Amino acid sequence: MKYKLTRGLLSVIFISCLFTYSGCVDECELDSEPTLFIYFSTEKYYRSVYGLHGKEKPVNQPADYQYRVPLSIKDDSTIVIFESDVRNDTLTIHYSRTVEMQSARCGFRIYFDDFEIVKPTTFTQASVSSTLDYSQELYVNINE
Amino acid sequence: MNKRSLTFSCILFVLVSVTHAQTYDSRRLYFGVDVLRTFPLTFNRGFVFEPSLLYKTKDHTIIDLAVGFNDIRKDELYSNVAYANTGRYYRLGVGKFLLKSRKKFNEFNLQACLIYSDFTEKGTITFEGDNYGDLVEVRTQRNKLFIVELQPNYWLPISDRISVNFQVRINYIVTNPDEKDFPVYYVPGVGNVQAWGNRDGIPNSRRVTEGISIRLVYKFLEL
Repeated sequence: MKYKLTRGLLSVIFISCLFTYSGCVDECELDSEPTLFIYFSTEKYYRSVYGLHGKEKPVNQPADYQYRVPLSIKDDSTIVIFESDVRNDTLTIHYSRTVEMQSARCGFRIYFDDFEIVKPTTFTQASVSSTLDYSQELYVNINE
Repeated sequence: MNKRSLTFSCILFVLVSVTHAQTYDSRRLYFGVDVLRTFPLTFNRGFVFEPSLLYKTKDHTIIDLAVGFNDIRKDELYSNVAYANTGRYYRLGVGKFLLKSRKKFNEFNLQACLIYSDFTEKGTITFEGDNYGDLVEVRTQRNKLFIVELQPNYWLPISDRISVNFQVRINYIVTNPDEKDFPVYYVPGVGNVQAWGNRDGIPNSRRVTEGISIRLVYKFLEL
């Protein structure tokens, strides 16, 4: 009886800590550079997809015609370069950034808004299909 | 004169002599330096320097004039802000001895002060960008505030010229501070004014604060 009571109490404490900790992590622990997900409506294979002036030049293996690139927090736009053997493409996304205090615990945060596709962009059917929220993910559809 | 009268006169003479020797009815000038404010309780490095001039009248009224200079740093405030505060302040106080008669170790006073604080807060906010580079934003806000202070204090003489002045300070910030970028964290002459409020997790700065301080005073002139 005593053993069951102790085990039950420990389970309650563990689950409480789990919920408390998960709540704290979701709000403040965000990647500084948001992620841009690019979806193609038709199959498109590029040897390399990366952000211009970025450090990384990964070779992306598309999963369901999707590429992933970080968004710049330093500038008001991110230029994405698509390289393949037959052609090179460009996608430029422009946005506004506002730095405001979120809370005492999280400090200041960058708020992104007003996403739009601007020149230089080689795609004619590109559009932003979401806004940036706490998940820090932005989606762009290209119907080409 | 009979024996009883003589005895009574002697006792009276001694009492008067002792009372007079322990009553400080002269005017005095003191120089003081606050020693507790410089102790970095709420910041990582920097200094707070507060010299003062005190004048005691014959009827034990104290006139206290202080000027303060500060330059303090806190490396991490609100998670991603490096905080700096530079400024100066002036304090004018008038105090009165609380007890009926002055003796060597019973110097309790009550002082009322007016403080003017002029300071600039700077917050350097850094967002780390692993791929494209960091974003660094600097926010600056300046405030000029009037504060009233109630200060019960006690003077402990440790020698003929040197005393330690223990103070309890209760402050009320009269002027509305400018908090356009972040809540005011530290007011020179008052101290840390941050409080945990419930405005979506953004702390309020307090209008009423309390604290203690210790000042070393040196009597350099007796009139």
